[in-house]
Amino acid sequence: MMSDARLHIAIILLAALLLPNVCWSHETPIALLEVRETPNGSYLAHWTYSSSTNMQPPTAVFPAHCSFDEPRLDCGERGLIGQLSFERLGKSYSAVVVRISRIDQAAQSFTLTGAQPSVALTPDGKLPLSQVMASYVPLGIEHILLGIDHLLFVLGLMVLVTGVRSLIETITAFTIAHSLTLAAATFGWIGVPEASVNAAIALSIVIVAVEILRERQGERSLTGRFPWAVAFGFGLLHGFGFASALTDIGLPQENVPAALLFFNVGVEIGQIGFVLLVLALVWSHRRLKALLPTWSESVGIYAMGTLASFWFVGRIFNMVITKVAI
Amino acid sequence: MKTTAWAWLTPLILVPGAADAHLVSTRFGELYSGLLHPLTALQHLVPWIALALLGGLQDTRTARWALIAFPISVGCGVVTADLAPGVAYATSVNAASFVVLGLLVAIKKRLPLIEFMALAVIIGITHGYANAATDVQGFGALLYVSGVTLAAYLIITLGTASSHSLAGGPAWGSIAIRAVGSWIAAVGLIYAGFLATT
Repeated sequence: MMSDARLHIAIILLAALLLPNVCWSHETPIALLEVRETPNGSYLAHWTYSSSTNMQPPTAVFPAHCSFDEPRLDCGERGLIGQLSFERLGKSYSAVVVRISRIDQAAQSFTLTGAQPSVALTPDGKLPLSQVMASYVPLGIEHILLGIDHLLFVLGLMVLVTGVRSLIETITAFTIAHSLTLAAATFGWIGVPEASVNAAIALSIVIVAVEILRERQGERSLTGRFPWAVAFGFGLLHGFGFASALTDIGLPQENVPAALLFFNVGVEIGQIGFVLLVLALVWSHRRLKALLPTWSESVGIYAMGTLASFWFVGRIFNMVITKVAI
Repeated sequence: MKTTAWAWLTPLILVPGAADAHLVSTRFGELYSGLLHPLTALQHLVPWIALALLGGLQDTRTARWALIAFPISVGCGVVTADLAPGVAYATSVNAASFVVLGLLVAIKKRLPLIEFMALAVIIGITHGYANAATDVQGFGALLYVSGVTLAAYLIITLGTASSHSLAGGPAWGSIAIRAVGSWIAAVGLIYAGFLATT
């Protein structure tokens, strides 16, 4: 008869094989609009987009003096300056990256989001800092809130630690670590394959779940004694995950440090919001003496570990499938 | 103080069109769509807060039961709307819930467990019904229902605990809660009147 552990693994493997779509890491679909100036002064616009649900990109609304008959864009003598905006941005696509290549000028790129669906095009192509902030802070918040794996890891850390000081140390260590690798990977100083990172992120949740259970059983582990160290170590890993999302979104070449900073600020806002919400719920339950039975905590931890194992196996499986296909 | 609160609450309540333009179909996925739908519509958010305030004024056992009964009822309401759409009186019940809950909070009414549960269940089902999304199918629908249910859980849990803490604390705590209840009842009357004339 199959042991419980083997049965557990078999169910996860089977589910991962049957439900491969669920195993993808969270998607942040981005559409790219390239606008290239032609020698006669008009422009050619070309969309590049892909999403798991094959959605159409948002509708581009060019400045009023421009006439757009896809792919041809004619802006007359005034040229391509003025307000460019996108309808339905944020509904299907998180962001649109606009790349404008003018003759005799370096290409300009802008990232627009549902929160900031328009940009004022200027002849020199420089973006005000407020525009970079309005674009990248919401993207950072969206990424962390859509990233159930990141949130689950933070939740695991919160369960693992005891006391406010330890919680602050642990969350701070996680923040510093993922900020470091986010910056390093974005600037291209280090690089790790995205698929491997996503699989490792899932594994980090499994490890935290196991460590929580060990702590519950009275085993004093390294993680229990130094949770901030574990948070820091795995935080480095999660930073690569954030970086891959940011790289997918694209960065304005003139404002890379600002875009990176504001994306990270968005991630931190989302993370702090999540931590505060969990703490508020814990306080509320204690206040109302609505405490869950002890066994439910174990069920939650096992569920977290099982889900993360499922992601891990699924992501490894997808990696293997991709390599075989290549 | 009252005048100020009226000044900003009334226009918001009286413009349901604007309130409906909440983030139903953002890129955050169906779970977040469900979560944000009631939280960004004052015609749902305000009565839910009123119910939470009322829960906090009850004894701890009664308040505790609402944490389970209300979110489940809201979830059932969303599912019911999917199975049997077109029940017009749900909107009227929701408008009435403004006034009833506001008044109960204003007079600091303590209800027996059964009565409070019945109130929470009725309000949960009718508000859940009004929060249904007709354009979401399959797994997305499940996520959407979970999102609305989660919103109900968050509001009732955080609101009830805050109210309970405030009511059991300084003397001004109870007064503040009752004052808020009276504002909610008044705004509810205006909202009901607006609905009756349109």
